[in-house]
Amino acid sequence: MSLLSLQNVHFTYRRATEPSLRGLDLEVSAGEWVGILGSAGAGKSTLAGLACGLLPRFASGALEGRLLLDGRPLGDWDRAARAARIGLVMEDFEAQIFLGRVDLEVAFGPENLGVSRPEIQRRIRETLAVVGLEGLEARPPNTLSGGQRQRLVLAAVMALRPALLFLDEPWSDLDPGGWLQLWPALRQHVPSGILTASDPSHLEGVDRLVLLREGRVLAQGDPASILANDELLDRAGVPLLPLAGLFRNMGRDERPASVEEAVHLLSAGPFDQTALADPPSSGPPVLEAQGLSYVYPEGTAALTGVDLTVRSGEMVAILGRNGSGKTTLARHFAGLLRPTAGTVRVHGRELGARVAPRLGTEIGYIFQNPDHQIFAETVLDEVSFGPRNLGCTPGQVAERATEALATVGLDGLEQEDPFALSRGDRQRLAVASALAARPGILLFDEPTTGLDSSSIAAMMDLLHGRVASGHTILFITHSMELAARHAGRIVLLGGGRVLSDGPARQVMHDPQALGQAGLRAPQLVELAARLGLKACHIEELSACLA
Amino acid sequence: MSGLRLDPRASILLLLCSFFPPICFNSPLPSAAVFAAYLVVALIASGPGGLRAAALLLTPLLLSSALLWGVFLGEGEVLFRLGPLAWRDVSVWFGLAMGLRFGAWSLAGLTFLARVTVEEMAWGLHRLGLPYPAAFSLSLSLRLARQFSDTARMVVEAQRVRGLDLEGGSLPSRVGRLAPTLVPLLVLSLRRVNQMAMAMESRGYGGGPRTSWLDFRWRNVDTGLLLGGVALTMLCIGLRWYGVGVLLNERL
Repeated sequence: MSLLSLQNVHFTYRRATEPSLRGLDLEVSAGEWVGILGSAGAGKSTLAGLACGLLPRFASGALEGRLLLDGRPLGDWDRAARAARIGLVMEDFEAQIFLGRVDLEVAFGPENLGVSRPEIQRRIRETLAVVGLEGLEARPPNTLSGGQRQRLVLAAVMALRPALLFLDEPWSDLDPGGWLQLWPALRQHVPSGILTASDPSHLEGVDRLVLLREGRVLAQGDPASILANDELLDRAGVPLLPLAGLFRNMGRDERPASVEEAVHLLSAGPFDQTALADPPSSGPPVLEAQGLSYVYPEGTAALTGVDLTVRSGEMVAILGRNGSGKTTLARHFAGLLRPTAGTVRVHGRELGARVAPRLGTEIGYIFQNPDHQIFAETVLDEVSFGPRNLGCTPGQVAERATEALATVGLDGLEQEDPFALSRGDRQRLAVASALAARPGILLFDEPTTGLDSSSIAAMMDLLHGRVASGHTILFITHSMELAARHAGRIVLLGGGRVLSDGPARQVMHDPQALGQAGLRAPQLVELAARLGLKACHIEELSACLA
Repeated sequence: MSGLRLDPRASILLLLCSFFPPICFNSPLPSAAVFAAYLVVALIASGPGGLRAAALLLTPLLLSSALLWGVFLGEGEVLFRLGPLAWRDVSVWFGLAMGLRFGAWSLAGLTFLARVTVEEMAWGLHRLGLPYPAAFSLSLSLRLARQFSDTARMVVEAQRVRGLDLEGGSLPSRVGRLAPTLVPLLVLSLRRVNQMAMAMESRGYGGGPRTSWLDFRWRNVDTGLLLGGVALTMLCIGLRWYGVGVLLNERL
């Protein structure tokens, strides 16, 4: 008998014009981990909400079809019994923490199930050890890093000892490599589960893969055979695994599953490295930090003696683990923080104590979550806000807004409601809003969080387009692949200090520096290194190996 | 005493008791004595660091109370005049007592918050008879206030980097300029609350009888302190009954 069974499930949110799920069938048996792979809008989060009995209660809509848990209709389960059978970890981990101490957070679920105190104590100890938070029982969650809080949410759900764990993209703030550490432990301690992702790299090791497209199952079965089927993945709008992508780019039919296998298939050198070139960085300094230190009011030293110069026309990635100081550094450049010690200069001018209203004309800062700034009723009004604040005339405002929307590809949507746009488009709208002030420097805090592969590609194309037109770009990211593929230069931060700073090629091929920062080179860089190449991404490797 | 952990029920009842002594007196000397006693307890409970911020609030409270009551109460002889305003002696003393009363209440609240976490407060309220959902909702709302303030900071920063100047101009114009921060704050807050409710339900909240990881045993020290608090309260009520420490009998 299936643990979870969804039969011909249709779901349409109230006010939505299209259904989110269209006749979805899914069976999950005890003892298996199923990966659900699909692009944004494929229906992954809707599926999570329905499978865990939260929809349509928390977001009304029309539901058809049968949903069974242990063979019983999901609606017949009471809350506690259901929570003991199926646990859910959602993408927005901050909303899943509501208590003031780590042990209380983990205990909350078992308390609701009426579990005895000695058993709660055992569960707290065991689950915190599994997620690597042992010893932090008495810490308030708000003193933990983002990655640690995400681990805490996992522990809190695992403490319910569910037979089935539903993980809806649970790695948004985990350190690079953090998920790779957690995943085997999760598999070991939770018998069955469902894991959703828009990137197949996160689904390595699942027993079965379900490919979702527009609310329907496009294919399901053995992960290796589905991930080797380029045509299926293309139809689902999801990227290939990096090694598979490389081989397809080279026009080869093999789809290696490991670096070892790829090396074996490619070991017919010598290879040509003449195509590898680093971008020049000879422009004048536009951003400078000298001896920059910052201590938060509660006493956390976030930056210590940071020296960094960013030159005009550079595209710089800031990499580092959670709590390494990436966002604090960017907030200094945006004028949102005042250094505890040291100086910050923009175009040679030292920043004062508060944001100058005209700083937006020099620096555009794009927050991780575009919804922190969207307020207007139309896309055009939203983009016009910055120029209006700068005192532009109505004509100038209209000209700048139109130009910015065209740059990000949102022209034609001027009268749309910004909140009705997709997450990817809202992110582009945030970029357009910054561009409308015509800044020369753009700072991005995690520009691709929450975006699927096609939106990531569009966003990064947009960034490259800006660099080509003379902008300087500095972006913070957790993604090693993103930095390797797009940055000309990489700054590695660790413990609030600069651990390494240089051309992306140099930093990516320095395993010692990466290790010191708690990071690891992406798979394609590992492959390149094994082949004696200094390539960083798929195009460079393809060119070298052609 | 700074390491003493009381049963949250005792702390809540003591907080309740702490309401009465300041209200029993409206003469500055006994009010100052009550204030001093509360100050000592607060110092022991939260340390001088914890009181530094409170001092910033209490000093203007004390001064403004004396100044305002001194003018508007209209009791006693005129001490001095400033244009049409006249400060009278009894009114100023009464105003000082009122400032000390509010100060004492603030210190009692500060002491409570320094010694009792919101979860302990929810536990205590539940054990004192409040239904668990009501006690938990109260603690959650206190925690949410902090989350909303973090979200508000992010929203304001996101608009400031787009040139929104919230620091210049008159107060009405500054309030008007807050509008672009309200919509994102509302949208994000509603979304957060909805997600939080989903997360709570998926962790079995509201499913039936529950146990508690937090556990406190009522000890002799809880009984002793509570009896002391009740005795002090009765004493103060008795003193008020006989008119001790009262400057204006017809006023509370």
